[in-house]
Amino acid sequence: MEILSKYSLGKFFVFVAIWLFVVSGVASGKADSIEISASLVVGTSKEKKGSKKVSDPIRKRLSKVFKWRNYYKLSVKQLSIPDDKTKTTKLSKKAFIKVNNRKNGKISVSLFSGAKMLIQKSQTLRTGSYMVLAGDSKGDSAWFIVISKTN
Amino acid sequence: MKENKIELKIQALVDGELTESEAEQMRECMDNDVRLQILYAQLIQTKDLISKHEMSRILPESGDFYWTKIAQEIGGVEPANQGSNNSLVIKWLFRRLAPLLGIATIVLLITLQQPSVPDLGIEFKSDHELELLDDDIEVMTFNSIDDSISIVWLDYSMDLQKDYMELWLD
Repeated sequence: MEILSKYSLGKFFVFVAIWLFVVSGVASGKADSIEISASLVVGTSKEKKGSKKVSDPIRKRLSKVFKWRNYYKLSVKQLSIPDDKTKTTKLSKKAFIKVNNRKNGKISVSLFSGAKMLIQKSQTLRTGSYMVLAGDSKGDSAWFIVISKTN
Repeated sequence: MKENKIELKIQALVDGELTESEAEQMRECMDNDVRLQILYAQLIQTKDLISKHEMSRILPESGDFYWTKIAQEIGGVEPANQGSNNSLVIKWLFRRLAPLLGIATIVLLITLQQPSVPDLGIEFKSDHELELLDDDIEVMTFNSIDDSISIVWLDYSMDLQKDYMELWLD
């Protein structure tokens, strides 16, 4: 009986060890992904009722820096990018971005207009912080590409 | 071996160092052994001779004072030994520490001679990198203090499609 219980105990520990090994292998094998939200925003002094406004945190932050009071979303894209991978998303007919997950929350964003690459910005993006690429637009307005981490 | 032990016991008997029962036992032993009897007699004789002819030595001082002097002599020697031990330890330490102290002094001097960077109170917390591929495009950047927002303003008028723009703007 004692031998049997010892044998069972030994078997149990072997089972636990194997299980831990497998679980840790699966966990380490699973690549971390970063969830990114990229929005094309237009900033304007004119108010357009019924238009899709940006969230309050973005509006507050942008209006602290820029003269425009109204910020409307033109398009929003969600990206899930595994480590060391790049994803491309189109924000307007001509403008698109390439986002590279450089691990540990660091991303590299390349902005293209047509076939021309304009700029590449890299930084560690924390949840709740924003990377904004912006420029002039037609009339008294500006375009903003607002990139944030959502996970 | 056993014989030697018996001889030693006989000597102890002569010196009166045995207990009563041990002495009785030895005497019985000697009664049966002539050789032991002879040894016993020789030892008694030798003892008598020594006791009769030993020269008495008179101490210059009283016994207590004599031994006190010896104790004082011993006490005087010990601190001297301790002192020599201490000096050995100091020498050993000096030999080991001197090079280290020399190196530390040189490092300190070099450090003091280095021009100190003025503290402007600027902290570089972020790891922002910017790569601009078109030299004609001017760029301005803005980072909030808490790094919650970083803005790159491009002197580039993005041609947002008319369908978007006309939808939102006049």
